[in-house]
Amino acid sequence: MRHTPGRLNRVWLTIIGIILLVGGGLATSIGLGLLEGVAVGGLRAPASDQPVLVLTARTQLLPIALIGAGVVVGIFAVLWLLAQIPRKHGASTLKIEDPDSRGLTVLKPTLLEGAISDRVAELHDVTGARTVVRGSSRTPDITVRVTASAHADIPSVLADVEQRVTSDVRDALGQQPAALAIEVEIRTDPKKDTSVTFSADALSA
Amino acid sequence: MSSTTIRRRPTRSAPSMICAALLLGASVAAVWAGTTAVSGDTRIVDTAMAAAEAPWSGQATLIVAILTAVAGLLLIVIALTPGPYDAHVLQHGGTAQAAVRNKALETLLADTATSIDGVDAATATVTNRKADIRVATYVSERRDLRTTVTRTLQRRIDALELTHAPRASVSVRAHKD
Repeated sequence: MRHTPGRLNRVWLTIIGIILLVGGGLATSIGLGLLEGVAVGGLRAPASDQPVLVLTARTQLLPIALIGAGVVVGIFAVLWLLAQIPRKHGASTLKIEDPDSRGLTVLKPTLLEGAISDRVAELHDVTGARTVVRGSSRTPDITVRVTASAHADIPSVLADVEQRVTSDVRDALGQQPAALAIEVEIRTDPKKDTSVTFSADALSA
Repeated sequence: MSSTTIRRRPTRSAPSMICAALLLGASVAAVWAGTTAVSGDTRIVDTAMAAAEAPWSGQATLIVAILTAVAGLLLIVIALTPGPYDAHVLQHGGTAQAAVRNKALETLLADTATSIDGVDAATATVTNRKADIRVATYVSERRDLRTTVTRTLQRRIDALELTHAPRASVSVRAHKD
């Protein structure tokens, strides 16, 4: 139902992975002396007994560089963390023009979502529904998450949901849904213990 | 086509959040070290510089370098491995896209299995190709029960009309008191 940043995560994990792999691989190669005497583009690999980092001038530049790098990386990290929050990316206010262009009806998508959910939840074998409306009033993109009971005939439930959502959206917006997605959840049926008591007279009759 | 993908592969949120949290921790440490150095206390920066002056062939340097390379390789594998889908697509006569979540299928199969005579408890795990159902029973003739449960559950899966129906695999074990 909600969008999560799968592609963004994979891209950044790949970039960070490549940086770590190349850096770690180079450092290991230098430490083991595998790059001794190798020069690329005028840059000669350090000898394995040389120190990793030598800062000759201990000026105020290093703390300022630390602060600058820390702020940049920190902002990136916070933005990446915030991107993990699933987004609804729902429609903005739906605007429906009358055929003569004399009036404009404004509809909040949450109202339509609530109405569709309520109508779908009334169907047989459906115990609950949640809806997200995306797109516009001319091209409504509807996603419905339906919770059905475990004994339900799922293909039949799907047909009922599709028929009801399509007709309701057409009645409300004057348009068929441009796209309709139905996600099915299953809820275990509550077990009911019932008992029947027979009287001796009924048994002998 | 709906803007919502009806079934998704793992979004790798957990490793991303761990990476982002580590980066945030490192950046906070860097800013803290920088600000204390600017205010005159250079102990932290001096310690970090002393550690950076270790030779490339030093044991600590090599261990850190190898661990860094391994972590990088792990991140690349996590990022590039597609992972399983979280749902099965339902083929039905209509125009809508429809899918049933793997978790929902697990609930459905476990519930169906427990309704079979002789089954006391059941759990299910559904992947893209296989549905593993573990059944606990007091029945001594477990082979017959396994056949019955497998047949019933496969029929239930087939009735859903999935595009790629998983194969039911049932294991039966004696119930532990």
